[in-house]
Amino acid sequence: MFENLDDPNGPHPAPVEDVVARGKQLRLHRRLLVAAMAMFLVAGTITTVAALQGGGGHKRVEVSSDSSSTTEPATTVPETSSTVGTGCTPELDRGCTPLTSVPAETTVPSSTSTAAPTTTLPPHDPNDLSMVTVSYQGDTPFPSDANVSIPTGEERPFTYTVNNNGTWDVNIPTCGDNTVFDMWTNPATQAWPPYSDGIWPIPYPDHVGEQPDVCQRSTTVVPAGQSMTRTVTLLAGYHDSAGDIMPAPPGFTAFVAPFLPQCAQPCDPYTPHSAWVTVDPPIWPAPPSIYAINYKTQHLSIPSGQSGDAEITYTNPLAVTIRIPLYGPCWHVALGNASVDCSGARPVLTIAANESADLHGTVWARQGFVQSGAPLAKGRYMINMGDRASETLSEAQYATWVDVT
Amino acid sequence: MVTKSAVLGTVPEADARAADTSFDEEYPALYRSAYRVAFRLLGRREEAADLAQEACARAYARWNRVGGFECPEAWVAKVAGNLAIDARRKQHTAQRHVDSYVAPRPDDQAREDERVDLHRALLTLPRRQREVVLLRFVADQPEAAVAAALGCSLGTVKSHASRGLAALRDALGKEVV
Repeated sequence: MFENLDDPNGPHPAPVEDVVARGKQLRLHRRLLVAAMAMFLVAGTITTVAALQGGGGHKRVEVSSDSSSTTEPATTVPETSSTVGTGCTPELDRGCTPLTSVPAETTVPSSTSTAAPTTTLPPHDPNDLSMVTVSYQGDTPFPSDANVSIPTGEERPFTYTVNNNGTWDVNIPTCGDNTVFDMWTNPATQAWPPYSDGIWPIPYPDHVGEQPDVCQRSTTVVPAGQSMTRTVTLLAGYHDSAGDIMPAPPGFTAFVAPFLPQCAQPCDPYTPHSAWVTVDPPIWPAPPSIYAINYKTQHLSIPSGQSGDAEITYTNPLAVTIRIPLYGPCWHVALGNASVDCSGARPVLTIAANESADLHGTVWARQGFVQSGAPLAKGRYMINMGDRASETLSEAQYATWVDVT
Repeated sequence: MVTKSAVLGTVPEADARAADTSFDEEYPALYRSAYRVAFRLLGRREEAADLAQEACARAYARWNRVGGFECPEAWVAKVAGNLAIDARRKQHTAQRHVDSYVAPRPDDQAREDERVDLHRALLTLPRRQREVVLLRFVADQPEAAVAAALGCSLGTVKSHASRGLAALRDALGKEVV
């Protein structure tokens, strides 16, 4: 199909010795990684067992928001500029410290004097951040790739630098060094534009019961013409009420330095002054199955214009609550710890960890299988149901259909 | 006979030599397969050669497994394709700037435009569908080899290929097989 894009000169293979040498290097690296993972798993198991036996819970990152340790900036700021609050929560307290852009002229006392020009610089507000820029670890001249990639459920240190390009000292609000920033993503399949047939059913973790980490606010003075580098921790997921880490779905989001207006997670990776964060799939082996659907009514027989009941059972064997778009009618939950959202293009099932749910739906022998459609003529009609797109499914034994009688 | 090395799960020297020999034999075909998909996506000879070499090295690193595949060329093509997509994504912004200084020849430009369109179309597909399209239509691998390389059924490959083809048709605005 794309022969016209071929190299007319053909390939000239590199020496196999070079390839083998590189291959051996990769193999060694992989073995080291596997060994490290095994040690990590063993350590994790031991910690969990110890915690369970000792009655303690999982370790949770908690930072005191004691305002007594907070430095309030001395402010001579006009009312239009922002002031620094205390106990800012990066996840929830959106815009707690907006970037002030007070132009220098606004602080110059007005004067009608026409005397000789003075060489005295006008006073500057330390909260005037108009000459402050931020750069992130992994920034490139052409930022078209992720600043950082994190396997889901893991933490990574992340560095940002605040550059004061002005001629006055500025106050930069910061969080404590131990602050963990929870990252939540748009699943990759949804981050991409819609394609011909909508969302291919893929379960992804759901964002419920988050315990937000608290930013202990303090203020750091960055002198004129100087920079400040801070390292924070990004978590590809969040801590739930039990202290367990709930992994984020693989996909994209962004991190914004805490002194700038925060964006809600999942955050658009193209947000101004943000760092692109990619959450990768977990590095541990996939479980034997990530979901199971039992089609109790794979084939329906319905008189033309009438309706019939379809039933499927969805089982979530994963240890996290997940969401999955499904095909078919607007399912309702007959049994099980689950819910269905039919407000979008497809029903989206949310189901708790290790749960099964019986789902029922009404299928009409009408155009589009909906009540408002015109009655269908007698015959067999393929219908998309559960995770099966029967319109294009080539294996007949898996197809779902409606016989209109 | 169960040898000690087999029990421990290590590869005996003789097996390692055999694996090396087998890789050597397969290498030209592997390289061709990887280079084709990399060049079709990137259009730059040196870069395609680098990616093809990297894909082959990764195959060597996992040769105990990949060498057992019915069609290791498909596996190498998948790796090369993913590397090429990543490489193009990283470069596409930079390339726009370069283009403003270096006026490409019209013939090259037409093909480059087609590559950009292809890359953009591939990025709109979900991961599995993209892998199928990449292997089936860009790397010209047969459906059975695609199924083996991706560890899924032939029916799944056909289903993804059909949807992916429709998406490519929409995105590229031309008749595709």
